[in-house]
Amino acid sequence: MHKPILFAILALALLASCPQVLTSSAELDEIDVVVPKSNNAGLLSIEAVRKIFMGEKSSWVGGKRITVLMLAPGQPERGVVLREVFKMTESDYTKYFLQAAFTGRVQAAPKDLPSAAQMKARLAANPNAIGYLKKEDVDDSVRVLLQLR
Amino acid sequence: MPSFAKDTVTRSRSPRHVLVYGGALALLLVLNHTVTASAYADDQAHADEREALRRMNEQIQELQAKVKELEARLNDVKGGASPGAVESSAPGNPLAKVTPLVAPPFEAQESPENNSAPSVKLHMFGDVGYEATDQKGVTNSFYIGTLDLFMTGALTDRVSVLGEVLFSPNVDNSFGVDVERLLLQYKQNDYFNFSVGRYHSSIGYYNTAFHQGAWFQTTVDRPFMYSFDDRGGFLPLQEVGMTIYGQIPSGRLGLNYVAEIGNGSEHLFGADPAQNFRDDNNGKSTNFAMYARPSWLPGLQTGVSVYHDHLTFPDNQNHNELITAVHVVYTNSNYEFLNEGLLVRHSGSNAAPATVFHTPGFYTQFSRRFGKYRPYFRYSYVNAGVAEPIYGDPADGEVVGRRNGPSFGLRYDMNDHSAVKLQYNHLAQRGEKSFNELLTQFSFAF
Repeated sequence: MHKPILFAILALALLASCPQVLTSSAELDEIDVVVPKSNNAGLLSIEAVRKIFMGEKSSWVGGKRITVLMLAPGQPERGVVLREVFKMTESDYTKYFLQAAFTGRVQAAPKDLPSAAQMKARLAANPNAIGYLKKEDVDDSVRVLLQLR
Repeated sequence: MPSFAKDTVTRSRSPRHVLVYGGALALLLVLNHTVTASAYADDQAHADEREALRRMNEQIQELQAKVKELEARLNDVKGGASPGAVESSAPGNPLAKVTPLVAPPFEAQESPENNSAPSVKLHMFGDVGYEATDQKGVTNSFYIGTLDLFMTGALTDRVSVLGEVLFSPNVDNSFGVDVERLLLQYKQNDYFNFSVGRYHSSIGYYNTAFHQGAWFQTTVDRPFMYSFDDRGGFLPLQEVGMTIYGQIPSGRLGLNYVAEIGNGSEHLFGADPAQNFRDDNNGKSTNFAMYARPSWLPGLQTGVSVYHDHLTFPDNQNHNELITAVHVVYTNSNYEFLNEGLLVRHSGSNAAPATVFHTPGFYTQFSRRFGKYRPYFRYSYVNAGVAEPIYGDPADGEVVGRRNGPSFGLRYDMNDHSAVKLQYNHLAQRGEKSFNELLTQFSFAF
């Protein structure tokens, strides 16, 4: 009778003593879709973000062209965006933009950047850009339009 | 030494068990805390190191960017600034000074307003294969499909050029060069875009989604009704004219429109079907298409198109051509389900008595991806009447007749840019013996 209770207590004690186990994956997966501080776009739904990133919506209200920025393949943030926004694998993404360029729907795939620092620098330089960052990389230079988890 | 396991089973009701469990639990907790604290400290140290390395890496990249910016400015001072090397900055934003100046490895969209000179992006597509058939009079053969050079370039933020040049073998073994598409495009916004030149007409879905690059399409060949003219096709798939297209504000319904006006098709045997040089008559072809891509079900597209043209023949027997097409397709990473139907209506404009002929056609195609493999099935059908004045007259081109049959195949994607396909076709035709085909194809795109 006591055994299950004792083992449950033991298991909980073990889990409680390892806080990283409970929190690390959630922290890694939290990505924010951001624009430069100077961009006054309102909060976006996941559908609106999907349209922008897939090239179906190409201009902000007011007509300014949207520049979509992506982190380079292999970075965990990109994996989250491919999964949550594009709902595609890396291969599907490559094929999608190759085909979209071939049919004339878009000029080219979004720009790939090697690091979060470059992402922030590009965002700061282009008020019409949109990109994404890990929550811990978000600072005062950008505005968060959508949180992805 | 007493057995702990035995104690737990045989003497679980003994007062001693509390002491034993309590002692064991305390010992485990102490050990666990000691070990995990130590591990956590190690992990923390490693995490700190990684964070420090990451920050150092970022600082190095920022410094590299600054050096390149200074080099660019130096070149500016010397009067030798490289086009597009410096990206424009947001006014008054100090971070703009560290904007990296190195072109990213992956060609990508960027507002051309920041580039001082247009550049061309080049892609290449092609396919080769082997065809075996039991059709009488046709030999088994290796073949070269097409070599497709595809170019796009942005002239300004809103104006771009799209060009596609095709090299393909002719029946006399020579190679033909074909300007498949040449378009000057103007993009005002999501709701109004304009292009002029030679384009693929927006009849139905397949002709807008798949062009010459065989790698893009799942199957080896196209459905009967969307075959190109050199493969027995009969629809006006290429046009010279202008197009207006864009979205229609419709919320989650995702409506889009396309309006086209062009020279229409040439119907002289052996001629290029697109009237590249001059139209036969002053009546222009028109096409209007509308389709929905609802955001509540990504991958679904349904639409309709209506095409009209005046056909002029040397014998002055002119005809009206009306092509109505509908489609419902669903595609995502794993599934592809394409369904289209069309009805071609030809009517004599100056014949007495006036006659009307209808040619129906449809296809359905389903495929499912399993990793790198994608098995597929398609059934295709088209039926032009024997007395059809255009599709039934050998003087006006290849006789369309009735064609129908299933196709089964398997596509294997070797990587993100090349695929091998194996396909079996069974084709039945009016007035001829049905036959079988086995097609293989290697296609690539990069």
